Amino acid sequence: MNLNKSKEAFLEAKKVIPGGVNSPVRAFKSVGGSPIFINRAKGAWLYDIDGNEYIDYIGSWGPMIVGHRHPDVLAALEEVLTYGNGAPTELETILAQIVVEAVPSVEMIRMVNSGTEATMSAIRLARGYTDRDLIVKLEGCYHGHADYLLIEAGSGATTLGVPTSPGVPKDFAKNTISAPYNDLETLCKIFAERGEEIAAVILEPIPGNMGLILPKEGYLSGLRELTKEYGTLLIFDEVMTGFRVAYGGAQELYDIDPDLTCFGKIIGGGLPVGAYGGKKEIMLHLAPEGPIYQAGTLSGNPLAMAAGISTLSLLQKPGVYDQLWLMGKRLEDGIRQNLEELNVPAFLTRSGSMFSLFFTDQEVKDYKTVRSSDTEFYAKYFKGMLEEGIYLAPSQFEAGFISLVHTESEIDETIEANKKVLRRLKT
Amino acid sequence: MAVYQTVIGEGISDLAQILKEGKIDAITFTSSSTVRNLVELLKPASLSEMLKNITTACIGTITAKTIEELGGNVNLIAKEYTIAGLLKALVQYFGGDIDELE
Repeated sequence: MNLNKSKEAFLEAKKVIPGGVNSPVRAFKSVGGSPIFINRAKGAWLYDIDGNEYIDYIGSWGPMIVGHRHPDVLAALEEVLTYGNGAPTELETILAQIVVEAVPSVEMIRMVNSGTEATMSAIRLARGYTDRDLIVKLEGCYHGHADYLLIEAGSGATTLGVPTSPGVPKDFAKNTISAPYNDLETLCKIFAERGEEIAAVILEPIPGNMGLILPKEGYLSGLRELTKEYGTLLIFDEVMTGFRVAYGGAQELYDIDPDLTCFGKIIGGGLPVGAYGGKKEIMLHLAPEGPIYQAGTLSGNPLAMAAGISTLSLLQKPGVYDQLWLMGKRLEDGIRQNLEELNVPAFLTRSGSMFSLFFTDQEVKDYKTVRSSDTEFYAKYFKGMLEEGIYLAPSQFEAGFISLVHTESEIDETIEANKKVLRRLKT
Repeated sequence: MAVYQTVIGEGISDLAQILKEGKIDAITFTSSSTVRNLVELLKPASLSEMLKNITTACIGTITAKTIEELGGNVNLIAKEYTIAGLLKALVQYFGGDIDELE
């Protein structure tokens, strides 16, 4: 496989951009080698500047659920180019209405520009509303890069082994309590001691940023009860899972009613968007209605709203989530069969069209067990798959995403590649 | 811009009555939200009670799972997860000729 142009582009980028990338995990650091540079995408496929083509399982890290360059999304973008920026548009209300209709716990919603901004703002709102400072976050869950959330965080922080980033003042970190995911008992102990000081518990209900982990039965409902008992707000970070694992997100799947929810990725249809929403009673504390401040120059800009509206419109069509689950299951079944046939120790997780393949002989259920994975083996697997034209996340600790335009043919090609690469690595 | 929004229907206040009287042979569900919306509309009656003698046809397994979770019974699931696939499955279920559909 010829990657010369990508290699050159990376060297050029490194001269002017730290590490050559604008978000760390893209740099291939944990799998070695140099990232591929893309200049075209269509449907489930990506094309690099050397002319190689790949079936894409990153999907822009989640947003591209209807595939790249869907004609409806492109048409919507073109239509709003004339809108201009900075005053309210009706598009903001339409997208808000679609989300409110889809997610019963969200009665009002505020648009921002990224998932990081959404979680930061939701936490400020929770602190202001409860008049408490402490927050609880769960190990391995990643909620963007706000100072007080980069504590035992997942995603790039896991990959790079930086549990708490330099530059995060100890004074900020002291208001964050970190607890293991899927462990209600430890949380109960924390709450017994300091429950009345805790403003919010924030978590990815189905974590995707340490690779995909599934919640144990009763864990999320137990968490809902516990937080309610102490007047603590429950914040679901559904930046990744919102409109992904089900139209109404993980909260629809597990029937949980959180106080606040953070969104991003899919609701922006591939453009930069974040949002946070929840109970009206809480949301009305936000400026200009209430005293808690939050603002943004490009929040709710017409381009992002249009891409979001058209993407969510496509996701309401009949059979969409059934189809996503079907393709997810086809991929899972195929890979499981390969693993068994070739006797490769691995743990596969999946929720609908989101999946992870951990190379470990342990059951993966939290941050500790995630880290039992053989990252060197993953790096070899990743490179092998890339050579076969399959673009997976360049880190063991990320999830894969299937889109609506991944057909049986792409899925089967991926299963074949998986078999070929695993067989080669076994010998 | 194409805006598509699934909302709970209006003007079918006598739906529960029609279902009870056995005037409906089959009911189709094209997504989990169509199941939830029906449950809302039929309240306080339960889904299991209302769908007792009615053929329930689903577009796919996830929609079927939602019906079962909410207490309903599933009679058939489409092979191809589209409206056309659902229609085909329904015609076959009732012994019809799918060629006539084309």
